[in-house]
Amino acid sequence: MNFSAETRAACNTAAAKRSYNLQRFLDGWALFYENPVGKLGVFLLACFGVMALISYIPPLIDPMYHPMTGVDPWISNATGPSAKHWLGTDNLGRDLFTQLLTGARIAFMVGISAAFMSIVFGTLIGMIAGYAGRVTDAALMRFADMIMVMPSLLVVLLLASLFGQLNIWIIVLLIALFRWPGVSRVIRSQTLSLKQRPFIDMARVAGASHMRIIFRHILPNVLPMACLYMTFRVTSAIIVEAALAFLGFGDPNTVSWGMMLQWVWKTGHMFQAPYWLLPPGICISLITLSFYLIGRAMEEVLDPRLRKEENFE
Amino acid sequence: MPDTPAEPMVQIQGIKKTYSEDRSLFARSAQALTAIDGVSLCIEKGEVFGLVGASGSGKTTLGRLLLKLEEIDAGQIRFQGKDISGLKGAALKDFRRRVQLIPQDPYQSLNPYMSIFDTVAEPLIIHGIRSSEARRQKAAQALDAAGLSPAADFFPSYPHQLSGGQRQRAAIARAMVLSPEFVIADEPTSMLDATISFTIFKLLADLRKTQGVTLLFITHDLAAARFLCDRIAVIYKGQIVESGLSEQVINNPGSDYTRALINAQPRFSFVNQ
Repeated sequence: MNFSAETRAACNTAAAKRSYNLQRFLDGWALFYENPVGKLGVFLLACFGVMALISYIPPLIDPMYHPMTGVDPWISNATGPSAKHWLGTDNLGRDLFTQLLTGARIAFMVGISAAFMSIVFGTLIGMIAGYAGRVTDAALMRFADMIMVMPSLLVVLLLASLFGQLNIWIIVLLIALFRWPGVSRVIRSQTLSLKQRPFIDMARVAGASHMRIIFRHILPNVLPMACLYMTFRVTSAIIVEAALAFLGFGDPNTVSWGMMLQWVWKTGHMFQAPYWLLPPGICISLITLSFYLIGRAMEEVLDPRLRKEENFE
Repeated sequence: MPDTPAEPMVQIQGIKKTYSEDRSLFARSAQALTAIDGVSLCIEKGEVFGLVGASGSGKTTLGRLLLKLEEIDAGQIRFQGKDISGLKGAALKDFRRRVQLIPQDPYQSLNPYMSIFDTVAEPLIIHGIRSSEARRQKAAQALDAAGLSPAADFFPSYPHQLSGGQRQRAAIARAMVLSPEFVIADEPTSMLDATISFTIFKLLADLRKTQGVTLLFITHDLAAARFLCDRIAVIYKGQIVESGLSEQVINNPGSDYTRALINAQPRFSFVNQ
């Protein structure tokens, strides 16, 4: 190993002594980016990110381009693509392209916040269940099982019909509340194996409290896995939100892709206006695909067994 | 030093520990495994006590019981005259400050996400040393004493950047940073190669001399035990088969098992003439 001496020398120079976390992140990123799957995922996601960012611009150019309230005064029915409206307009004369851009923003908002919340719940509950063991573990995991077998969409629909129109944030919260059990199971199993590692015993010998062991010793070690699961949760959150919106239980004050689909369907343009139906449908598929691809590529980075060509020295 | 009037550091009386397999709904009978079967020992203040035994003899379990990582099923462990079985809260924390562990596997015993400084300073934070300047100083002292100097160079490193011997030194620094009175070294060199092992043994001997710490040295290596220990106990299948001054046990083994253990050692010209 002729490079190991150099590597070690490099490691010992003060400049190269980066934090372990940063180093691991950079190594992981290099591996991640080698993977065409990950590259495609990042590319797609970047496209949607750009869409979400530029969604703020059209309403500034002309109030007519506001996704909710901007109506083209010259148009009173759905029209196809034109120079003025790149994707056409809906039946009220609202610009579909701006709606599509705004939809990206809403998808990110819903997907990431719901996924983040479910990851926080799932990680906390999983760590506590795995670390505490015994009765606590059994109780928490049975509770997780119960939520897991509940048909989440049905329950949300029921709640929506009981309480009327749901605010977008309530929807996000509901998605998060239904999506943590899967995460908590994975984090629990990781915690169970971490608990057997000697450094946890070392922490106990040093007199560390349970809180300290969970947050200082277990949390950093399960965080990469939690991040991985977050990408999968984003996907499911976006799909659930779109389904709810399409079924007419979305927040009527937001322009999500699901809402666009619902408008197409409600106004009877399903088969008359492909320029209205297709873009949001394609966008939903692609954004979930991009998160899924990123998740898959991340999984390969985190789980060495999945790496195909590992060359051992 | 069997007849010192001072109170012994650790007194163990007839302790037992059995592990039963988790009784599941469908299992006919739960099989119990006796790891420690009626061990009694006495470790004097300031001595190095060797606990020698083969794998699976229960020596690591005994260490874990002494550290109160696991609870005994029967018998009594007294640390400085006080029974440790009921320790809770502040008393347990005080016990944790006085008793430390030097772990077996330096590759597994350091949290990979914590820098060496964080690792060594963690016990200080836990035991309420608030000032960060004091923590830095104490951590630096401990690392220097453990042979990682200049200490400041090692502060920002992470375990994966260190060699096995360096990691074990960091683990020793972490164990010694609170100036404990009793340290259990559980096969501290089983993952290290021979030359590095020797430097670690020398370090432990130094620490005993300079800090006056009482050491329980758990090992399967009789040569190491003879080098380091004042007294030795040989453990086999959870029972102490022999104990005494280390020279005496090794030169005149009283039990068949000890003799077998000595014969199993690779013989070099400088061992046993």
